Amino acid sequence: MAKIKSIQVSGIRGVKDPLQLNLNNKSILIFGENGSGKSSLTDAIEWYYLDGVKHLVSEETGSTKGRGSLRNLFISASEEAFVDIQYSDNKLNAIKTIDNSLKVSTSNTTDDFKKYFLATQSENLILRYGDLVEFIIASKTDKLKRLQNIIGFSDVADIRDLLKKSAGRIARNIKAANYDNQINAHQSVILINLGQNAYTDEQLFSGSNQLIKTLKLDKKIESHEDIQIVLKEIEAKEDSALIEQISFFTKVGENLTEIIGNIDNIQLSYGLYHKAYTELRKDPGNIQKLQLLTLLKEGRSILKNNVTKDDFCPLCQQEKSKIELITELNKRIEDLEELEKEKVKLGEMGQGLKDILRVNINMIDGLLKEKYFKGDTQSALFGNIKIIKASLNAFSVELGKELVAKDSIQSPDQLQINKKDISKSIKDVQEKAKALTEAKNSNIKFQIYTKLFHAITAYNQYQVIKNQLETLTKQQITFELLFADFIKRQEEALNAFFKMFSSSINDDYTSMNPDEKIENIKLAPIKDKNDDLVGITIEYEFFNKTKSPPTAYLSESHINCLGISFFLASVRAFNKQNEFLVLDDVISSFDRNHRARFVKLLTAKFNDYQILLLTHERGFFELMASDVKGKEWLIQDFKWSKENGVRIEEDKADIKGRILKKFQSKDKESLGNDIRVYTEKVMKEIAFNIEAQVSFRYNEINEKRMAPELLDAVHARISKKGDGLKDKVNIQKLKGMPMFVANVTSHDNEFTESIEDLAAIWKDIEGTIHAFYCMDCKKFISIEYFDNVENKIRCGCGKLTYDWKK
Amino acid sequence: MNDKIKTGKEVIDEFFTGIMDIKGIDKKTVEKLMAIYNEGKLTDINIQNAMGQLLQEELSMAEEKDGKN
Repeated sequence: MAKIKSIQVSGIRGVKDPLQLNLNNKSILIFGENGSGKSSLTDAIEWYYLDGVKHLVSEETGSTKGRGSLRNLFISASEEAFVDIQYSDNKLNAIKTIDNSLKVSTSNTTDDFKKYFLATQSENLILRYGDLVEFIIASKTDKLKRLQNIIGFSDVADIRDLLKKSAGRIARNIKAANYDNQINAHQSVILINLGQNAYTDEQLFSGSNQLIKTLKLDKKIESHEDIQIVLKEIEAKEDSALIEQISFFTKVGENLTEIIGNIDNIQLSYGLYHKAYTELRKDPGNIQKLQLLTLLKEGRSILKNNVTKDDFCPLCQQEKSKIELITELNKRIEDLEELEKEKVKLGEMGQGLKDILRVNINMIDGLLKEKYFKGDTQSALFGNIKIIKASLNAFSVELGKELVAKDSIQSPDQLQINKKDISKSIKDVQEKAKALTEAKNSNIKFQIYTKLFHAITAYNQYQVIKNQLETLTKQQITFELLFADFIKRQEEALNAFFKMFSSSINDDYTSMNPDEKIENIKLAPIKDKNDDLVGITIEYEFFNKTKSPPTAYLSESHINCLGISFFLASVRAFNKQNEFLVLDDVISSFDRNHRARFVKLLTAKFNDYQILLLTHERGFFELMASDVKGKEWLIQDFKWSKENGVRIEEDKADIKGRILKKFQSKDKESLGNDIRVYTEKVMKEIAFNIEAQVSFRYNEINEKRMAPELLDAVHARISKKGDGLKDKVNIQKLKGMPMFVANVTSHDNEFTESIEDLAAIWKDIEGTIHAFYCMDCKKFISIEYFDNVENKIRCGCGKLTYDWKK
Repeated sequence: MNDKIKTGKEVIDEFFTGIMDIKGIDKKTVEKLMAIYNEGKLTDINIQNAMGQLLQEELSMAEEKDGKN
């Protein structure tokens, strides 16, 4: 697994000049006051891995994922902003750059890096305070979605939905087609013409042989081909018009039989739809509220993305805890989503009925186009069929009405299809067909031909319907079986995951909250009435009673502990590529005890991980620093200035190294500043060791001492106490040097001195420092080593000694 | 602790590997589904089209069979 050897950021967010962290795979504790730009480092890492920065995304910048705000404002258009990460595995080293047109490129194009990078997309590398409670206060469905995303179960959920949807759709198609009804219609034609039903070829052939018996043909029907031969043999061309007419009436009878068979289903379905529609309309306010759903979701997204930083409602500006606001929004959104589900269900019911109606109306439209309806001879039948169509259309009109329409849809008893009239029409057309067939009573051959022709036509149609039904039923059953098998696998895998994950969260939470009566924290699946997994909740035992959700019972500090535990459990479970994590200001709401336990948790349970821990809280920084000292952690301060952006507070050895390098290359750029900063740092140590007194200041302001003040204090102290030292150093000369004739506002002024002048200044400063600093024991002379017998001040080894008054 | 946990991909792969052994399934339906999955095109519309195609193939086969009788 990869750790970071070094990271360099340039031109990103608050980082103007290159900011280099040489981590050498070690953890680092970074302190930076609010506004010091320490989160720029987190933003840089987030952009590097995810190609965007979530908290920079707003509606306006959505398409660029916050990249528009990524480049530092003060870098020139030609400068590339970049993040350069060198890893423990050199093969992965890469520089990601973003130019002024927001074009992004990555230097490492190897397959190794691509593979690594793709795999990291599902890892949890960064936790910020703003995201801390995101999972804890998320709605049950969002929790499920988020976990499924993390563990790569989104695809599982998608496939599960596809299988379920396919089974449901095929079942609906079968129902809408009403195959049984179609089969009955065709069988009734067979029965009329053959005198018996024919469900198999054998029954068809046997019935056909019976029908042609009186013709005493030499042929016996044993196949479909035989039927065609017989039909051809007994066919009379001059009768074709009559046969066509009989076919017309047969078709009308057949179709109307199908339609009448669908009427009960249509009326029953409409009754159910009407009931559900009326139920939803009971409280019209609820339906109106559905229009708020989008607004509420947007509001939640604004709060989650920390577009507003403080605890107040961005809409009404009322002061309110962000967690409370999100929790309330979740509740309202969940309620409305339930309502929306009912609305969607109603829509599906309506669609199912529309499908059935469409099949029947199409059938009628087909009939109305028949050429036998062109003249006036069949006007009564034509009119009857149009009335049936109008009755069916009336249902469609009602189904098209909105829930919020002024008037409700018509009740089922207001929408009746007159079955008696349809039955009468069927009887009429069947009688007409029969009459036409029997019109040539003496012509037995014609009668048999007509009957056999209609029987075989109906049988063929029956076969098609039967095959369709068989195939669709096989498909439906298959999808149902696949779905059942799949959800079993999904649930087994999810339950194993819940168990492991819950145990990890519980361990970390209880180690930060020992001796509290909150136990057995676990993720619990929530199922709907159809036993479908619809969400996840967090349960725990409080005084041996199961409670849920946490926001209802736990304090903010405890909820944050839960958030951290969730993140750490995710890191353990899913981070397979990277062995580092970034924790940015995650303990802000913690009290002292929780902070101490959090430090212990990190150093005890995550010591294998490389942790980049950023904080703006001095107290926590000091607590953490004292705990990680000697555990190979690096400790760093971040500072921000308008000129340089974010920079690291360097130690004096680094500054000295840079000064010497600049003298070597005769580079005088910022050399004066470097000498000033170095002298300030050393003077602080000298002042501390000889107990030179400066005026009192509070806390960190105390650290902001300029060189002249320190030089004055050191000068005053040695004038009073150290006769030997007074003669050896010329503090007043140092004070007159150009870089010390300055104030805080001109902190980083450039100097116009030549490199030679600067070398002379440097020589004086080094000489002064060496008067206080022993090159053998590497320690300053100090009151700590004061010899009160000899009245001498010494270094640690005693080689550097001066007289010092008591 | 992670060893017992299956990733989503593992769950899906295992399902499709053992899909033909699920009792009662129609092999032709599953073959169509597998073909779309293997092409990486498992979407609702593709399933609908594949099932529609299978229905037509079955009807043509039945028609052919009836013609032979």
